[in-house]
Amino acid sequence: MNKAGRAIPAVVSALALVAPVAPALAKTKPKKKKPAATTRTVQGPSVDMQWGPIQVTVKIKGKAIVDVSATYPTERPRSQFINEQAIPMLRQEVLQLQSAQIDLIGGATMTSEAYAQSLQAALDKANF
Amino acid sequence: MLRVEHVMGMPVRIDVRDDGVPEAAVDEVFAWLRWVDATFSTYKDGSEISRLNRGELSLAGASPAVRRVLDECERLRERTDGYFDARVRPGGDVDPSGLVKGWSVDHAGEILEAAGASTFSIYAGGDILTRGYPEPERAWRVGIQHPHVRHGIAAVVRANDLAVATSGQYERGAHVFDPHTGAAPEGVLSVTVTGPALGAADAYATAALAMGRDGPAWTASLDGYEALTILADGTVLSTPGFPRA
Repeated sequence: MNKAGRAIPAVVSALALVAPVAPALAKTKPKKKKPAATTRTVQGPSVDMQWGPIQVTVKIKGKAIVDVSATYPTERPRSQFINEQAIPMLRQEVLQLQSAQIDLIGGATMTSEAYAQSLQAALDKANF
Repeated sequence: MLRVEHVMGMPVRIDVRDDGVPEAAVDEVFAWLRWVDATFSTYKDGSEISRLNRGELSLAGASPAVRRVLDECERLRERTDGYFDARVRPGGDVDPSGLVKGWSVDHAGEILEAAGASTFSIYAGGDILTRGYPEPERAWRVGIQHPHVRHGIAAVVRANDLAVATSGQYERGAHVFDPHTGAAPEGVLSVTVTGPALGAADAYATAALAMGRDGPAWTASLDGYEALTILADGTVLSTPGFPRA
């Protein structure tokens, strides 16, 4: 049993929709001036989550994500409850990763052999 | 001051942002971690743990640190319903490695604080302990490794004086199993636990991963610790107080 006052975990995000942080690491490369970027809309594949299919639409201006929206099933009360929590968080998260200032990368046990290839090592190379 | 050294087969990265903290404090941390390795490693024949397991050393003759760690392992075994278990076989050898890393980093943090450091992070093989604010009013930001995308992150943690431990089934060589059945857990890719102490956070993450699909609900029962679980179907579950940035 859970202790009083603690809800069981809520669904807050869907992993398939999380953007890689690698572009943020490329900041040390010199940037070329480019003509004003146009905005384009990209639709992701329909992903079957356990509460139904979700399709994400991303608006991209140049190389930056400027908006994220998602369609999701509403026919089942349970789905609606989960998605009301999930979708706003998703929007926030993908947008944040574009400008995420990350100090450290946490992950499952990283051996010395694996470290050189890790995101933490890449982050250090970009920062120091 | 940034130093990376390899101890216990893993990279340890110490980032002290305070001015005026002597380099000797960081030397002391690495000396401590090497002592821990020599004392606790199950890969070293001469370690106290190896000697305990061969019956050449009694618990009474072991270092106070060894006794403390084994006591804490037992407390964590009870707290996790046996899902964190330092006994390789019931009644057989002990392997407290699952607690030693986090516990030794917690003490490393105390060494730095005693030397006057108040703003630092310690990264040890993917687990992290932070203190202070790296910039005015900005907490340390810890990205959680994406289990499928090598150079991607799945979430960002606002790590304000916090321990952040992750157990996962995506890193090669990682092998967490359910001590009750011996089977690998199903349905879960990784569990990240945050809280005051890295030793306990790491043990809870290991236990929750071993619980498989039952892990997320169990993490909601933890006092003072929060968890984020990534399921195999891509769903991300977190306890209500998980410190997302």
